[in-house]
Amino acid sequence: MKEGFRQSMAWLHTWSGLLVGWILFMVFAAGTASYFRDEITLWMKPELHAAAGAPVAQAVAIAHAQQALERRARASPRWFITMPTERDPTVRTAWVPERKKEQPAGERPKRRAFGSAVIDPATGQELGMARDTRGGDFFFRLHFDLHYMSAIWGRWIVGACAMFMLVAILSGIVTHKRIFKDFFTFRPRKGQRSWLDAHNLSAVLALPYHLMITYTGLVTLMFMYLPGGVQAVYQDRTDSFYAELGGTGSAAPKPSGERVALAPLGPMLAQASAAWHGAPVGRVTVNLPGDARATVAVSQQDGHGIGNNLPVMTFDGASGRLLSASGDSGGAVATRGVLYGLHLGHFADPLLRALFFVSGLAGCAMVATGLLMWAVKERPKHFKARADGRIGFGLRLVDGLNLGAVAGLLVAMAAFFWANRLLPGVMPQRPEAEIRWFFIVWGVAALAALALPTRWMWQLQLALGGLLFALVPVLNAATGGVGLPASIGHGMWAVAGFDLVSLLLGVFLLACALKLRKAPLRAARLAGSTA
Amino acid sequence: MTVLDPSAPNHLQPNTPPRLQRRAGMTPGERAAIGARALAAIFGGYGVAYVWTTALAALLPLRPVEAVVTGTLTGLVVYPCAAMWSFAARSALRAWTGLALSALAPGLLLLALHGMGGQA
Amino acid sequence: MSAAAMMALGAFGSATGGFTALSLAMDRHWQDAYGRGSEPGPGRRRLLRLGGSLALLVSLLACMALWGGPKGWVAWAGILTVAALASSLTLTYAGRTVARLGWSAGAAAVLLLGAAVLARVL
Repeated sequence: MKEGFRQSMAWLHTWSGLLVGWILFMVFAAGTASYFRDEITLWMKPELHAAAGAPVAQAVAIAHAQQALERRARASPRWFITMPTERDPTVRTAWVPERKKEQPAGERPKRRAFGSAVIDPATGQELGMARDTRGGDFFFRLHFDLHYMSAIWGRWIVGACAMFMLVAILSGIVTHKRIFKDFFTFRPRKGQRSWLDAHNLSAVLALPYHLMITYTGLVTLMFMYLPGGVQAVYQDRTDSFYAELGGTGSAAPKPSGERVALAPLGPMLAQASAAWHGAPVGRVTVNLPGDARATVAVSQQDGHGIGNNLPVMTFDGASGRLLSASGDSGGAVATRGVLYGLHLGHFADPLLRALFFVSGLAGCAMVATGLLMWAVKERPKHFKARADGRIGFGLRLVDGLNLGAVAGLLVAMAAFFWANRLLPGVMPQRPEAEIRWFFIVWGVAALAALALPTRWMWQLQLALGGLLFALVPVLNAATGGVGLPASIGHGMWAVAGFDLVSLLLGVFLLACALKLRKAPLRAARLAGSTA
Repeated sequence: MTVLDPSAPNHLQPNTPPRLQRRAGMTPGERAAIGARALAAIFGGYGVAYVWTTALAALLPLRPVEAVVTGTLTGLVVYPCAAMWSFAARSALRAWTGLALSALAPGLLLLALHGMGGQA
Repeated sequence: MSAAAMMALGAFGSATGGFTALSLAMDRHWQDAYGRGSEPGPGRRRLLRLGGSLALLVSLLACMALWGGPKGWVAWAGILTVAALASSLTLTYAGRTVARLGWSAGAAAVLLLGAAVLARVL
C-alpha cells in the first residue's frame, strides 16, 4: 500500500512538474533576478551611475526633495517621495496632477499622468534625461503578469503553474525515499543518475525555500485565486476589506481651500525614525501640500522587518504634529504580512538577500534538471521501441521545449541588457522596444530549438548566452556606464555587482557549453539521433 | 505513466507492479481513469478549496478581516492536498467521492447560513 | 572585521563543520573520504552525529543572535543550504579533504564566534 502511494506520487510529481516546467523556469529566473530589480534598473540607466556614490543623510535628501517639489508641483493635491536606499540611490518623487478647473462640455475627463522627477539627494539637481527603460521591473512583472496579455490572464496562468509546482514539491517529498541518505549525494558523469542527483540536491538542499517561495507566491495573489472568503464576508465592500488589510482606515482629506505653508518634513522623518529605533524612512506621502488640512504619512523603509505591513506615522502637514501611528494587526493579517514579505524578500541586509538569490538559483537548477532528466530518462525507451532508432514526436517536442525554455531564455535575458545599451538613448516607446528585443530573441531561439533540438544547438545557445553575459562589463564601460575598476574602486556595489554576476553567469554558461563537447560516448548516443 | 524499462534500474521505484510495466501505451480505460483523476485534482480540488475558504471566512468567530485571511490561507493548503488525494486514492471513483465528502461539511454549513438569511 | 560579519561567518563555518561531520557518519560518504569498504566504528559514528548536530545548533544560535527571531530562522535556512552544498561538492570532487574542511570550518567558527561574543560583551 505504501509502495502504491509512493508510486502514484512519483507519477504525479513527474507530470505536474513537467507540464509547467517550461513556464516555471522563466518564473524562477525572472523572480530570482527581481531580488536585485533596483540594481538592474540602475545599471540600465548609466546616466544615473554618478548618484551611486557615497550615501546621503535622510535629512539632506528630504530637504532637497521638498524644495524640488515646491518648485515643480506646488499646486498638486498629493506628493509621493521615495527615499534613497542602498539599492536605488536617487530620490524618486511623483505627484498627482492638479485638477483642471473646467472640462469642455461633452468630453470625458482625461486621466492625466502623474508628474515625476528623479532627484540627486546630494545636490538636489533633477537627474533628468536618464534613458527610458523598465529596467529590473520588467523581470519583476514578467514573473507574475507575463507579457503581451492582460495582467489578469498572466496571473491566472502563473498561479496555476505555481499550484502545480506546490503539488510537485509535496509529491516529490513523499516520493523521495532516501531523502536523508541521499542528502549529500552527487555522482557526476553517470548520465541519468547524475541528472537525478543534481535534481535531488538542488531541490532538497533548499527545500524550505522552495516550499516557502511557492506557497507565498500564491499568497500574494490569494484573494484573486480564492475570492470566496472576501465575497462571502464583505460582498461589495471589498475596498473596505483592503483598507482593513493594509492597516489604513482613513480616506484622503478634502481640501479646505485655506493656504498654509507645509511644515518642513525633516523633523517629521526624524521623529518617526527615532520612534522606530533608528529604522530609516522609506516612503513619504503628502496629502494636500500647502493646504491647512495637509497630512503627511511617513512609512518605514521596506526591508527592516519581515512583514509587509510597514509601520506608518501620520503627521499634520501645517504644524508637524504627530496625529497617529499604526498599531499592530491581528494574528492572521500579521501572518499574511510575514508570508507576503518573505516572498518579496525586501531585506535591507545584503547577506540575507544574497542567500535568497542563491536559493532562487537553486530553484532554477531544480526546474531545469527536472526537465532535462525527464528527457534523458525517456530516451532509452524510445531506442528500444523503435527499430529505426529515431525518437518520437513527443520526446522531440520536449527536447525542443527544454532547449528553448532554458538556454533560449538565458540568451534572451542577455539580449535585453544588450538592447538597453545599443538602442538609441532617446526614441519613442523605448522601454517597449527593449522588451520586444527580449521576446524576439527568445522567439528565434525557441524556434531554432524546436527545429533542431540537438546537442549542437544546446552548445550554440549556451555559448551565445555565455558570451553575451560575460561581455556585459565590457558593454557597460563602452556605452556610458561606470566600468568595473571604477565602480569597485568607488564602492558603487550596485553597478559593480551587476557586472560581476553577469560575468560569472557568462563564464558558467560557457563552461557548460564546453563540457557538452567532452561528454562520454554513451551519453552522446542518448542525447539525440542527430547529435 | 512512469512506465519503467525493467533493465534500467531507477532507485525511485524499485517495485513497480506489473500493471505499470507495459511499455506501449495504456488501454482506453486507463486513460479515462487518469483523465478523471486529473479533472478531480484540478477542478474538484479547486471546488473543495473554494468551499473551505468561504466556509471558514464566513463561520470563524474572528474579526471579519481575520476570518477571511485565515480561510484563504487555509484554502491554499487544501488545494494541493485535494490534488494529491485525487492520485493517491485507489480508484478515480474514490478520488471524486473523497473530494465530495470533504466538501460536504463546509458546503452544508454554508447552505445553512444562507438559508437562515444571514450573512457574516 | 565587524562583530556582525564575524558572527555571520561563524554561523557559516559552524554549519559547514556540522554537515561534514553528519555526512561522514554515513557509510557512503565515509568511503568517499577513506576508501572503499571502510566504515566508521559505532562510537565514532555517534560522535560524528552528535557533534554535527551540535554544530548546526550553534549555527542557529549565531543566526538568532545576529538577526533576531524570525529573520534568524530564515537566515539559518539559507546558510544551511550553502553549507550543505559545500559539503556535498567537497565529498564528490575532493573526498579525502572533507575531514580537513570540517575541522578548519569548525575551528574558524569557534574563533570567529568567540571573538564576536567578546566584542559584544566588552
